[in-house]
Amino acid sequence: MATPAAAQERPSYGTGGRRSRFRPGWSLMQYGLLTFFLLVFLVPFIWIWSSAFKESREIARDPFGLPATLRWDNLQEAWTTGQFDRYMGNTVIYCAAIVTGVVVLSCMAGYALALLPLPARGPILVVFLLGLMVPFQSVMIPIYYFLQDLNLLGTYWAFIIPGIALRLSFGIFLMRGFFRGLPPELADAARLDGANEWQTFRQVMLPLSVPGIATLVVLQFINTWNAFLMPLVFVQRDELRPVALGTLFFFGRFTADRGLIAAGVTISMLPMIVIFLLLQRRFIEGITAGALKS
Amino acid sequence: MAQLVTQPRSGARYGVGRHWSRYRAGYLFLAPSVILYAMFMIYPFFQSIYLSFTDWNGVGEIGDFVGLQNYREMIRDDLLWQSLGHNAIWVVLGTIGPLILGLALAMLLWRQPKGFTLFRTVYFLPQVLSPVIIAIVWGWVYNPVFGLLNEGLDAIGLETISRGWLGDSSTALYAVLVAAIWAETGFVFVVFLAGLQSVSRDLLEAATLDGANAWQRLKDVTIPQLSNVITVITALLLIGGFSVFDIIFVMTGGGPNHSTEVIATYTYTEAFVQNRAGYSATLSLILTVISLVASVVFIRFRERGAQ
Amino acid sequence: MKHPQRRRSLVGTISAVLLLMVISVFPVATSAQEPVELLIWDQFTGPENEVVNDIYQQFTDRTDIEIVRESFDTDQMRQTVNTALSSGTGPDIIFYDAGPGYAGVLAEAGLLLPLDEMATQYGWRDRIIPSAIQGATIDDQLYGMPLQIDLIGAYYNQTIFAEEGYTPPTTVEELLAFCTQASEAGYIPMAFGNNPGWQGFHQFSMLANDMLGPDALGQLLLENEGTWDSPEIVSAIKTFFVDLQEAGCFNPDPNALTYDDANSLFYTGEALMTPTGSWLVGDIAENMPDYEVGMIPFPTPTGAQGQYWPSGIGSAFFISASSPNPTEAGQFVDYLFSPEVAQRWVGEANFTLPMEVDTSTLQISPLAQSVLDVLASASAGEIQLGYNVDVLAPAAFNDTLQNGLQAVLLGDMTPEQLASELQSTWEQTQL
Repeated sequence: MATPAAAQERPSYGTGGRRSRFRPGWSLMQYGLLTFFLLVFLVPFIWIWSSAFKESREIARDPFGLPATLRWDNLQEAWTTGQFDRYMGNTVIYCAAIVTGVVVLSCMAGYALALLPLPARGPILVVFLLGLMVPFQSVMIPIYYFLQDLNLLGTYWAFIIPGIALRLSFGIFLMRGFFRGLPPELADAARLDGANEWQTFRQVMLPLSVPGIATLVVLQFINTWNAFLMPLVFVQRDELRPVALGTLFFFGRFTADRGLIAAGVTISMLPMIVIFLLLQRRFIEGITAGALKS
Repeated sequence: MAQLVTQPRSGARYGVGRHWSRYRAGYLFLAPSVILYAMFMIYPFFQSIYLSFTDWNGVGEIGDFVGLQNYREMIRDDLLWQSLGHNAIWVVLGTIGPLILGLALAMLLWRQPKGFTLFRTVYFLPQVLSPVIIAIVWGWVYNPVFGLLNEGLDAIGLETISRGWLGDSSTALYAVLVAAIWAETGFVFVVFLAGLQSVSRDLLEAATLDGANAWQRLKDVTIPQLSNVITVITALLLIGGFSVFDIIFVMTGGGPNHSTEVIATYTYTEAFVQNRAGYSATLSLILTVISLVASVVFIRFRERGAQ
Repeated sequence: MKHPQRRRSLVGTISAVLLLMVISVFPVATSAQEPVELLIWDQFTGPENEVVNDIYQQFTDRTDIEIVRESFDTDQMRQTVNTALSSGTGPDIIFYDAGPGYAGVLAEAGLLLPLDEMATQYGWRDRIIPSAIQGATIDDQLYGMPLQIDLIGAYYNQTIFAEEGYTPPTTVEELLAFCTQASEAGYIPMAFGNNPGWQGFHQFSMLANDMLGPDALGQLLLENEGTWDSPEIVSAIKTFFVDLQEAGCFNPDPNALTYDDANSLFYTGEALMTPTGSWLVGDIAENMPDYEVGMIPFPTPTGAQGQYWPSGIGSAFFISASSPNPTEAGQFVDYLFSPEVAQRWVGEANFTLPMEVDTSTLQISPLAQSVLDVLASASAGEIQLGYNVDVLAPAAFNDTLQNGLQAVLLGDMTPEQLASELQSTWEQTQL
């Protein structure tokens, strides 16, 4: 797999300053465009956030003005009637379980497929490759009835287990690519020192693959937190819904109360925005690496 | 499957025991993934193929085997072809749009001007949010009563253009598409931004000295060096485009009058609203075939590019 | 694929064993043991929400049966109810649209519990009016207990009508004249939201009853005598979905406007009329404290047989076939139809029930009273009510009707085309 070098190294910032042969006109236009797009991406959010502080009547009268007073009632009411505490808790459970599952299994399988002796490695890879290409809709109906046979519908497992299984292909290919980039001599050295395969993997190779794991964690975390179709089909009970799905049903129930809807949507997106702002570099590097290496 | 494979090596005969001791670690590392994957991916996939030959209603015992009846119905199903047409529009515009916008934004921020982090954060923001949120926010933007878009158009004297964007069969698909492009651009943008770091500045300067203008530099120097990144992004957007579901489902549910119906929403409705699990399985296989073909073409393309 | 059933169970066993090993370390949703717990899905998202909570709570206080309530928007319920019921872990009781296109589909799939025995045990048939019992009966078996009986007509804002000197239109001709007047005065004559499209069923029903007369429409719907591509049906479609639209009677882009948004236009006084059902009486009382509102049968089109209120049962309570506690579920449903709770439905939630309710002690708004009066004169045989088409038609027919009406509004289809499509879909469903 060809991998642009840039994806592995951190981009070297700050070299642009030396070459300052920009004309002021260009610079002005550049900032004009940048600001225009800044508004395009930001205004819808600001509109929703400010609506969250307004009464529905205020929104109807003046949809775009800033709220007259900061009314926290909407947010409070949305939090309690929308049961966002429960949805958030569920989402945390799903994320913890699915991300852990995908990462552990992908690391082990990716390691085996990259560095351990295996018969029929090629066919196994092809079969896992299939998982990258088959869309979820093609398996969702049988999985649904399979989960029913297993009596797992109506439990957290109904989303967790298929959530892990269907993301394995991606994780395995990503981790395999990563392990193949590590020098195999390290593993050989560890084995000569008397480490068994598990110790070699756990104590030598795994620590070296932390950047790869970080990428996988970020991608799976975003995917799981935002997942919608899989829980919609497999998670039937309100008390088990993750936040994206909970938000959708909240939206359906209170669609006439615009202030409340805006508040619910604001609450729903807040944790992800905060996490993103805190871990921005990781997020962006993870997404980039995930795209370029898969 | 694996047990059947024997590989004679350097004259030695491998018994089960030798085979096991040689491959044990590999098997054990692989086993959990393979079991889970077989149960929730391989088995359902074949089950789906089987269901496509039945008239199962999705409840109780699996229905009667009806041979190719679902496939015959599919060929005559206008709604399917209509949905595939929408998928085609979606794939083309939903790929070109983010590519151009993402590249433009990445070029604008290439040299890390002041405020770089702010711009990058905001452009990327929609990418970390759920499609449900994106869909609800854009549903508001397009709302005919209080929506941002119509009010904005009215404010600048373009009342004639404002309309019920999602309720008009001629605009609904494009309206949803705009929301999707808006959300997807951030992703393309950061990948391009990373790709641009490996574009050679010396070549660009040489081109400038040779008298190439900005457009020529972009077309002849920058883009060729990004070709690999472009291929990857295109492939990801294409495959995602064929199976698009979330944003359409939430914004329009496929309506009005099926004008935003795509194969994935149609599959969902047939399975879970119309109770036609058999036919729905047939439809989902079409989606699989398209995705498979697209992926294989992409892989071939990349292999050729890599050589 | 040779033996999918067997394979299914084989893989099932293996994986069940494997999963059991994992599950033990993880808290699974607890299944209630001691006090029985009933999960109910309802559609009470309007102002009646609090009353419903209270009614449910009182049941728990008396019986120790825990009621877990999840309320849904109608459209989302339609999208998820099938999977939820067939999962076996879904709700014990659902409050869902009666009629073959909705609950009928579930009953045919064996997802609903037949209620005949319970009905005898509790004497439900003596309490509920026969036409409502009939509406929740599928293949000669009773499946649901209908809570509401609906009238479909048009609300109008009496306050603004009086201020502006308008009179409520009785014919489509008068309606068109009113539309011109009201638009010139800066009002939206009639709020009409047809997103996601089920609203159109009701407008279609009103006009179809007037054009065909309820007897002929009933014959067509229930006995399959007659056709849908008749000139009367074409004219019914054309009157509302082409003529009124072209005359500027509606807000722009009905297909883009949701039901709630359309109602908001009416609540705020921006729109002067809105064509919908009596289920909105409670919402109107809640949202329009400053206005007087009246309800009239929809204006009659030219060439009509008469003027009729379409009426039908709305949603009903159904019990899931896979409910582990059907007896308690039955007990709960019976409670919901007890005389005392019925009074609360009428008095506090503003519902119109298909049963005798003593309203002497209740404060009923004039609007709600007018609905009750119409129903009373209908049961006294003084007026004939019309049919609400979608609650009697099969799902595939409703699907064609819903998408077709949207297409006609958009000008993508003519009323004639839709009528002939309706007929061909109808024929397929009657096979």
